[in-house]
Amino acid sequence: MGILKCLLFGAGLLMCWMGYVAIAQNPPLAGDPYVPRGKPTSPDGTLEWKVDSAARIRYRLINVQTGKELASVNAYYPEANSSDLQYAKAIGVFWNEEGTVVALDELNRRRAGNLYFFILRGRMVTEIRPEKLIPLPADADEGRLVVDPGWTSPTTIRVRQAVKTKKGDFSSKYFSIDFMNPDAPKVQQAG
Amino acid sequence: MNGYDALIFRIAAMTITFFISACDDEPDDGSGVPSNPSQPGQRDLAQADQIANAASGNSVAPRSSNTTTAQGNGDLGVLGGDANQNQQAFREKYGLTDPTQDQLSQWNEYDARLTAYSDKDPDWLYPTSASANWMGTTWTNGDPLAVEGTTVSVDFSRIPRGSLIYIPALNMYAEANDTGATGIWANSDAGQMDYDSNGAGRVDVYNLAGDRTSRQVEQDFQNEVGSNEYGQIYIVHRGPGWKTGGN
Repeated sequence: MGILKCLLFGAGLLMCWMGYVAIAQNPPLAGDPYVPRGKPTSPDGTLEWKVDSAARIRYRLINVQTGKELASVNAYYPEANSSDLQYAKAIGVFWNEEGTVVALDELNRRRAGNLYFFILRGRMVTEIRPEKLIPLPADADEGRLVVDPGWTSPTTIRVRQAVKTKKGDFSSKYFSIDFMNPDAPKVQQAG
Repeated sequence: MNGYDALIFRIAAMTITFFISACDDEPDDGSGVPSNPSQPGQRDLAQADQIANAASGNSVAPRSSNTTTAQGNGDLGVLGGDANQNQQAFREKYGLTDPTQDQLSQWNEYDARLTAYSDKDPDWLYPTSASANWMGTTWTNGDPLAVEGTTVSVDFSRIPRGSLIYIPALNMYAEANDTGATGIWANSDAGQMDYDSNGAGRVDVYNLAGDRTSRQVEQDFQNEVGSNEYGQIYIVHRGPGWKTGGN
């Protein structure tokens, strides 16, 4: 009976993990793919990512109190029409616990969209493109990095490299990026 | 072990097995290819405008009994599901027939790269397209369904959203109402004919995979259109106005 309890407990843990992964998966495996993921507001509530569609669609990191823009990037599909706006709003924003690093992850729609990291130091915001840390394989026809499932420690986030090869095969490879030293993030292949 | 324990054991074992099978990644070699830009360059956008403007003013092909000039044999079975029936219904609804040489000469011809995608694509499990399709059918999340035999995914900066196009290699009229990794396409095909001065970009043809894998879909499609994938397409009408008889 002891072994069974252990197995049951393990299965419960696995179910919880699967549920977590299912929620964080980009795109989600079930339900509405356009539901935003993560949380747009920083842990201390002072900063927030907003989707701006006044002209072309872009994402803006603003100071909630002052309204000042600290950083911005264009949406992958930037035309200000309803379809592109629906896509843009389906973003994932993943802050680490301390609010020093944030991942901005557009919806992965057949390798469309981009993943950005931003390092926050005081009033300084630095953008990091993860493709420079984890290049696409040489046989890739299409590929992109997505957050999957999210932060695994205060400084480490796990990402998935989704690739379509020139032969038409698909593969996924997982990596951990450690931002302990934000000037030199460390990349490791993850399980 | 009693029956209850056995049941619990089976549930736990199935859960673990399912978990293990779901996490079965296929590793591949990672090595140095430059990252993809997030947006098309200004030169591409200007060129796209040029193409889009050049395509304006066209109209839906009128019914005609003249001889066909199409290269394809008109059998879209390779696209799976009801591709042939859907193409036929599409033609009947909008009065489309195999184009004559005269019609082809009036439409704007572009270089394109013909590729395939399907509902088995692991990075997009939802059989949806980006804008309303001609049938008006919708997926559970409200998105319009892609339709095998009539839906293609294009770079909207090259072919305006909702345009009616004709693909000679398949003898297929298609609605350009879906899109994909356009920034990646523009980057990886830079310097190739589908992104040259007369290039319409990739035309990614929607397939219903059925029992086939996504790779089989790709191979079937390449066998049909030729392994180099490059060919011509015609923009019959720019934008979605052809559905309502407008411009």
